[in-house]
Amino acid sequence: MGDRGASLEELRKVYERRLSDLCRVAAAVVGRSDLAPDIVHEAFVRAVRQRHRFEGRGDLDGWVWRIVVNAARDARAKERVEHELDDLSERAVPDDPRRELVRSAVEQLPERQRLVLFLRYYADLDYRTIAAAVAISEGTVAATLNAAHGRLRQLLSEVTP
Amino acid sequence: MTGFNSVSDALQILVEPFEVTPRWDAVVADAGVVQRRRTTSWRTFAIAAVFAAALLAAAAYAAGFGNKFSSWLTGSPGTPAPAAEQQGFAQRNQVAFASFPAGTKLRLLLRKSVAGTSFDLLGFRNGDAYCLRLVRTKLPQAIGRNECLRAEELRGHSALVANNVWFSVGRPAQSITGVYGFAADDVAALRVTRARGEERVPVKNNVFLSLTSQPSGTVQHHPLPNPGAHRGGCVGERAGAGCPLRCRRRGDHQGRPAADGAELLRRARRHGHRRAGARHRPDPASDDRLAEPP
Repeated sequence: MGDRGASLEELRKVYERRLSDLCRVAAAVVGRSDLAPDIVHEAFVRAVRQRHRFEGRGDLDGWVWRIVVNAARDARAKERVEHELDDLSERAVPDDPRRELVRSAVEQLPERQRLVLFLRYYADLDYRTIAAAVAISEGTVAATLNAAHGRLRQLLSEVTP
Repeated sequence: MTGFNSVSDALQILVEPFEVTPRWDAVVADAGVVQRRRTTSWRTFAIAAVFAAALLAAAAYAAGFGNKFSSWLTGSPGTPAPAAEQQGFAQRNQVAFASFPAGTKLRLLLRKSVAGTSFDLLGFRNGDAYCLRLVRTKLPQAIGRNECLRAEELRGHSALVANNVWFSVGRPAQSITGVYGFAADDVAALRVTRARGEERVPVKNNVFLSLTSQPSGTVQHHPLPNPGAHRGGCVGERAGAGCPLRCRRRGDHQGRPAADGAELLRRARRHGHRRAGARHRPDPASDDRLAEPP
């Protein structure tokens, strides 16, 4: 790695080791599980094409996570525009009320807090990799995670079951 | 916490763990990478023969393709991009994690104004991909929107939507939605059908750009969005012949039902009534990659 960029083999290892986690985080970011595999696929296609651009300043995992997170954020933005016209009744299939409650609370968090929570709890990433994926410092990861915990606890406790 | 022991417990029920079958070969194939393998001499010979045949096929294919999108193949489409836009792209590209090759030269293909805001549609090549960049003329260093289509994706299409974009500009804010893409030589114009209304956009330099604006609205008053180019919402016109062509949208997820303009409008009205009073303006924290300063 390093100056020579990332090799196909290195990317393949990340892909095979992390595919489930990547899909789970992508699903959480975009808010739809059915889109997640396509988002991760497209992100890896981009990573393969741009693999020579990996400069080796951080680890490869962080670089890949960042591409996937950006792809998921793009997909979320597109979904929000395109689905403004969708009939809510077609999408709002009766769901677990507890899940709806958590979803509602998570949606109220600032985007950075959501991302950090997803990466920490769905992919079990360490602070260093989260920092690379979200383009913030490790100290900011800790502070953001702490704030997200507090806010989420508060939001969930405000709602009576 | 309403029955949850911890934040972790709460999050675990939000998104279930995934079981996905890895498709690395498909990733590599879609990326257009030819994987090297150790081969015996006769295999090398066979591969060389196949490669030669592929070259011949590619030449034939390119000839056919060139007839359709000639400005991109037989010359330089449009004019060289203004220095500010070239420099703005280079600045953005330099700090991008997955960037285009340094020194990529942009061409100005189209310039269009809507609601007093001018937009430039720029084009450039990236390997076998044809790329378009839509950016505000006065903000050449902004993120804008970049989208690429590979030559094989364009093959067989008379017109193809590359991207469906949204910008928020000015104070009070205006929502500008746009559709841009590629069109073959024999397509003179396209009709972009939106939820409300239809726009005829001429084709120039084998590309088209449709833009429309509306007030972003307030909490009390939020106008319905007016996107275009949903599947089936874009119809091409052949030069001189008037023969309608379907314009396929790239990236439509399979399984999503197609809807025509009337259906979209019907849904929008229903949707608007249900969400009366809801804030329509997108969350700036989540959409900062699209929104741009006034």
